[in-house]
Amino acid sequence: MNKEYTKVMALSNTHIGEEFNFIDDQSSFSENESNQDTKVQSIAEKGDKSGEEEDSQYFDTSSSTSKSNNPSSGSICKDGFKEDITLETAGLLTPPGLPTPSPAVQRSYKRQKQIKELLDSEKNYLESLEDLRDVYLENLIKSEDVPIFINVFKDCVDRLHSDHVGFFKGLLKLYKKWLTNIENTNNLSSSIYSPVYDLTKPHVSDMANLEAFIDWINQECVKNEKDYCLFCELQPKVLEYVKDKNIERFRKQNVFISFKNYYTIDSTNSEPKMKSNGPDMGFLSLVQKPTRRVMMYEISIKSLQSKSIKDVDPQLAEKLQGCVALVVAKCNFINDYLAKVETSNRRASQLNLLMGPFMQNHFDRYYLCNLGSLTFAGGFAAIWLQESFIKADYVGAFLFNHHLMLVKFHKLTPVDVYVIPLVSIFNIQMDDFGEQGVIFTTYPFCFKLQFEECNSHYEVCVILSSDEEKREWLNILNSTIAICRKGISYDFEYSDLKENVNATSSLGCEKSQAFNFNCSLPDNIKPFRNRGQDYFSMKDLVSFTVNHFIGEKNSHCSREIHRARARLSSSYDTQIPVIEIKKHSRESVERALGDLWSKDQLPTYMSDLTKRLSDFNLRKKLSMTSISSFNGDRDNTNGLSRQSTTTRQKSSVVHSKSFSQFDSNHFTLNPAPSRSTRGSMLSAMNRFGDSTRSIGPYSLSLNDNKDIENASIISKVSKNSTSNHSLSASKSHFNLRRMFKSFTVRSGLSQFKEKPT
Amino acid sequence: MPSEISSQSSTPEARFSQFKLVLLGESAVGKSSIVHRFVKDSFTDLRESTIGAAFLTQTIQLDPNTTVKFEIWDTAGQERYRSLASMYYRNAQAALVVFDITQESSLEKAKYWVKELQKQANSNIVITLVGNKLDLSEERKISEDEALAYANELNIMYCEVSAKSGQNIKDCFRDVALKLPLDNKSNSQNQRRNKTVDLSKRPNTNEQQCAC
Repeated sequence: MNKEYTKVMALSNTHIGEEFNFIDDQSSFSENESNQDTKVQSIAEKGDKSGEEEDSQYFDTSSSTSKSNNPSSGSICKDGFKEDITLETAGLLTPPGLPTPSPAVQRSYKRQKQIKELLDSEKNYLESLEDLRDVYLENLIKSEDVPIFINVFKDCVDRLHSDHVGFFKGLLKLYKKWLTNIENTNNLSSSIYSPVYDLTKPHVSDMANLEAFIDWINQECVKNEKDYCLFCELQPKVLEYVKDKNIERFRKQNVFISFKNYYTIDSTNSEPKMKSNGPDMGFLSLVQKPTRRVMMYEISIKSLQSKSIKDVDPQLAEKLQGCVALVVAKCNFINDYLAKVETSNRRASQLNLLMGPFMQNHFDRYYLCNLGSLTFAGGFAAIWLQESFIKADYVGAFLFNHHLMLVKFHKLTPVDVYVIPLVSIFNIQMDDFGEQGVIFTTYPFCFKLQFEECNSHYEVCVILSSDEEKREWLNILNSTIAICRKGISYDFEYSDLKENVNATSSLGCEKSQAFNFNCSLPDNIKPFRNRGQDYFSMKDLVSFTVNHFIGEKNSHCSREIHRARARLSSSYDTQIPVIEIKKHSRESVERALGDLWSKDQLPTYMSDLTKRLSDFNLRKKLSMTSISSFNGDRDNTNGLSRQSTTTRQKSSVVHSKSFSQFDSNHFTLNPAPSRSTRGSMLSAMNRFGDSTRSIGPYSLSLNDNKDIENASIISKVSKNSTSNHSLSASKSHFNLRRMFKSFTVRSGLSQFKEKPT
Repeated sequence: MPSEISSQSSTPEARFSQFKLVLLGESAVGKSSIVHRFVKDSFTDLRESTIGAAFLTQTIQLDPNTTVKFEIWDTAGQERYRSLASMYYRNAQAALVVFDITQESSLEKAKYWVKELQKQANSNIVITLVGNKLDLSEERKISEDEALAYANELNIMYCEVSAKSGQNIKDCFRDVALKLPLDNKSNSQNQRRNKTVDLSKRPNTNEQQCAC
């Protein structure tokens, strides 16, 4: 039994209000009233003084103090700071002659003090979030047209604030309960002034209160780590954006913040006075705090654990350990996410270099920025219906969180950009083409993206080099689209949603939501179905076949590629177009994308090109004949027949003419079409009982490095001409151009048609 | 009224600059002790791990007309979280990389942090290698020559301090302040003050380009 000693520790400018008002900016000035409810009974030994002193200074709010300077000497005057110490630690001094509380009581007090520190710093953190949101971000958004990520960032800050308000309120409630328990007990039996007050044992409710705190921290601390991930991801972008925006002007314009920045009212003295609080309200400081705060919980809880380990039972000790582990896991999650983001940011910079100038000239200046993080990039041949013919381009494909961007390149420079919102893609048709939609092919490594825009259904056929590549694209597209289309169920719901968003966006609806519906389609792209119409009839079906190059990476698929081509061509013989996909089309897209290409998931065919480039010096020394032989050998990898260079050069024009011959040379193929060779894929068409409408005897050669016309339809193939091998290449080419001048696919130069939301 | 405001208003030539300074280094080398000695001129042997505070500020007067305010961000265990830590020092103008002269391993860790800073932080960041615990010089494991040679090799500043005794602490921060680009700040302020508008000049449309 000891004599006791008590004093109310004045909480000074860091104490906690009874009714903490998170919305009212005047909350900082309500401390006088709240002081009555925030008394902390403190018992400490003399030796504890220094520790208390140090700890109590380390509060978020007011520890940063810069006092008057001595200009002549440059020394630091700390009078003001000492005054703070006096205020905050006055109650911690044990009068001389009093017995020292037991270590258990000291630890109990320290635990209580650490909870209080957590509360104080949490309160200050909440104020920081409020200032960041209300003073800086809201004013920035109001003052100018900002990219969408600024809005997203502000929303993220708002969510963080909301979560932490809940966390703080719970902590505060538990803390008050703790204090009330102590006071009630003291009043009933052993007042701290009473000689029977026990300084050897902690309060009876100590462990129960500690457990309640641990449970609450476990449940609510860093409730949603994904918001922290997003905050940390966007923070560097935000800092970069505001670098030249003089964002501090918002602080200067805000009278209250300017005032709050420098002063708080110290109400602990008999005469309230203004007290410097240190200017911590700069944007950089505020925006930095959450990245640091999330790691503070780990240290704070570990510290609490170290003060409790000798007093708690194994169950509570385990709970404490679990709490630490949970917070560490969350920090690790955020850290790992950021590591990925660093890679993503590098890709974003590269994408900006590649696409930035074009996008700024043809789209909104923040369009590329608003597309968000690039998640996947590759290239494929895209085929879509345009009026009465099909259009084919080898494009770079960039998958973002909410959009698929297709880019047509010409010599590493983007010339056309199409953007399809992922939320509009209602179907990915992987096989049995013709079942839904009008484009049909038997090429196995392809799928159709069917999407909706303005109450019409469109489709784009994606031609890939191999089954692996197809699966990679399908995996990433399916998973991303599933997220985007969550909640969309009925036909043409997307169009309804888009109309609603467009209608409400002018009323202040979220810009980001409206942007997710942003679409930019090729000129004259033809829908295969409009709202209110039935599905297509068989006469509308457009079929084509693909003559895909075969390289090292897809050589194992050569059999399927040839078989698919042969099957359809034998069925319809000359009535179908052949889309020829050349290796250098792929290589040029790979070269344009560079490191943006998702090399881990998608194969690259540029190795041959690299080799070719590295051999450039050598090749310069070779004769033309040697070069021809070199090319001839290399082209063997494409599965083409061994021919002389001269013949091969001609075949770039008459390739489709000799298509049947080529097939018959390398694969057993019945010259006459038969039902058995059509395969099951054609059964769908047969069901319609009508002849398939074919757009004519063309071969589409995809070569973006050549003249546009040469890159499109290059030869005529007819039933008669298949046997006419003597037809010269030039003549065939000439005839083709003359006969189908008006029918030529205008490859690559069509203007995109932007449909802004 | 804060000193920087009054000095600005009373003497038009007064210069005031604010800089973000971060402390990095292995755990328990005395980073927080250095900060507390500098900001509060206090020291405790039993300092616990840094909790709670986001940052501290301290103002020093280089000369009657020049005031420098440091916003000091002390690390609090985030060294383990490499990506998070990089966010924390990325925008710093100055960094103190602290090691313990009685612990060889701490210099190795300091070297790691110097490399990280040079790789990820601002290109013009002022890095200072700080050997702490000078009061324990009889237990020294890392000679001054060794640390100085390393600092010279990387063209960074080096100083040895004792947070316990306060030796060299103020001088260290003063040296950092002198190395920081104070003139740029005042020059830019003067430029703003004297800025005139040339109506014949066409506006630069690139100014509003997205920086992301």
